[in-house]
Amino acid sequence: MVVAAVSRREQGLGKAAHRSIQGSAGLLRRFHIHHTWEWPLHDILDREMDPGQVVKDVAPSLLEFVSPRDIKTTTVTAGLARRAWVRQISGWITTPAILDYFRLWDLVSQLQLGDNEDNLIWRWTVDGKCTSKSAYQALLTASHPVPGCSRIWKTWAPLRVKIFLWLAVRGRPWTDWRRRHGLHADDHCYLCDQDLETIDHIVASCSYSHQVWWTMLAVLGADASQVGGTSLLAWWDQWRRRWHGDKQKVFALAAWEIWKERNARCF
Amino acid sequence: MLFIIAMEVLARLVTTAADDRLLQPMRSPALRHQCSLCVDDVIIFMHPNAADARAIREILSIFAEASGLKTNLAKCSIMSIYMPDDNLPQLQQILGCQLAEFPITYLALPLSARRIPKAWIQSTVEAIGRRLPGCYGPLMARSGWLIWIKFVLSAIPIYTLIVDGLPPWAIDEINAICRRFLWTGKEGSVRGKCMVAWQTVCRPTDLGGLSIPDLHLTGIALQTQWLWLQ
Repeated sequence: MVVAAVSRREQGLGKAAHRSIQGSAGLLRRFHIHHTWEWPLHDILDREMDPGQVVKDVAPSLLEFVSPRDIKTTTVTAGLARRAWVRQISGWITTPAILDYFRLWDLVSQLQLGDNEDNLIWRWTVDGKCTSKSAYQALLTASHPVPGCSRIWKTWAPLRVKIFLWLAVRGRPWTDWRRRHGLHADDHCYLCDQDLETIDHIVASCSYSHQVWWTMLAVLGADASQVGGTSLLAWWDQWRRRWHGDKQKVFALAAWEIWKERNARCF
Repeated sequence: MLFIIAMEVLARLVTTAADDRLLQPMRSPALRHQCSLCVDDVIIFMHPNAADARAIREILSIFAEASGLKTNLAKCSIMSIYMPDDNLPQLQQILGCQLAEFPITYLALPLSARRIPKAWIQSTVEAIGRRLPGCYGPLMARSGWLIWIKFVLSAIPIYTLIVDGLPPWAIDEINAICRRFLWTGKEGSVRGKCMVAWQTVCRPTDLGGLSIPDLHLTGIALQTQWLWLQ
């Protein structure tokens, strides 16, 4: 048990707590405020609308005549007060924009804002409740998916094979850049000694690995007229297009075995 | 749960006393309650004057008579939050408990009215270093190291991250431990052995990483909950 004595400067505590959540405050602010031009119509109108439809979808061409700043900053209440949203439209309006304007006018004229308090909706989950998982994913929304990465983790293989493939897709296993690190003077392929050794070469275009793929496809009873490709990903794509089911799984394991064979010859 | 039910009476006593002006009310809007009960700790906030201290003593003795839960004052401590220390000996005399100074450990986390010293946070970082598998590390495959990082090492700082977040230097140190372990399997130097940048490794799998949690982003995501619950 702790008895703590507080004097007049206790408000300092509140400030410290505020500072610590400042980082996430920006996040939340971005998430829940609807602006006039972005508010979901189904919240307000009685007639049936697609859920999640916003003004932007109803009147797309009208929005070209509203300044981006107004779109970003006007709230629903401010926009509806004495029809302020009409005054935000400026410039030489085109015919489709006028049609959009009439449609929006019809929709907005039926509108009555209630006295209910606004409730916050977390837009990153289906039920509108905040979860840490969705917040984490929301922080990564602007990122681009890297091609070929999701298939590695979906394929059936032990984790060590997946990690190898992950490195191989990024071109990171130590092959031709051994020389850069001063480990070996020779940067030719250990399997065929014909070409510069890269991971794409070892798996997809080396004559030794071609032999492996041929034999394997012959055993599987598949058409083996054309094997290999320019890069690992291209060859894998081809493999996935041509064969299905269990045969698809073999790719990762075979690539791993070829890599192990190369390592056994190298070290 | 049982503790909360029993202690609710004490909280009511303190609130009633505050309503009857026996205790001076707190001025800060952040402090809505004068009595905070959590898990098995009680904190009572009060102004540092003799009248309030006597009132608290009376409340505790009334509570002890009514419920049989006698407060062991030797185990209690009194701390000053932003106030001069000259009143403390007097308060200590009235209440009969020890004097303590911030930072203290409260619910296994360092708590202070000022900046928390580096040494206190260092213990969290060291706790992660201690959970490395040690001499068994090099015997495992890299897949084992990955699993170890994702589900053992990254889970340790989560409790701290939920409450207050970690300073950037602590996050960097934790990342360094994880990085060394992922690429070498032990604690030694990792120079020239990292095959992929750590920021990339921390991304989700479809964005080209190994989906090891990024501690900085995890901290922000976990603390968003506090804003949501307000």
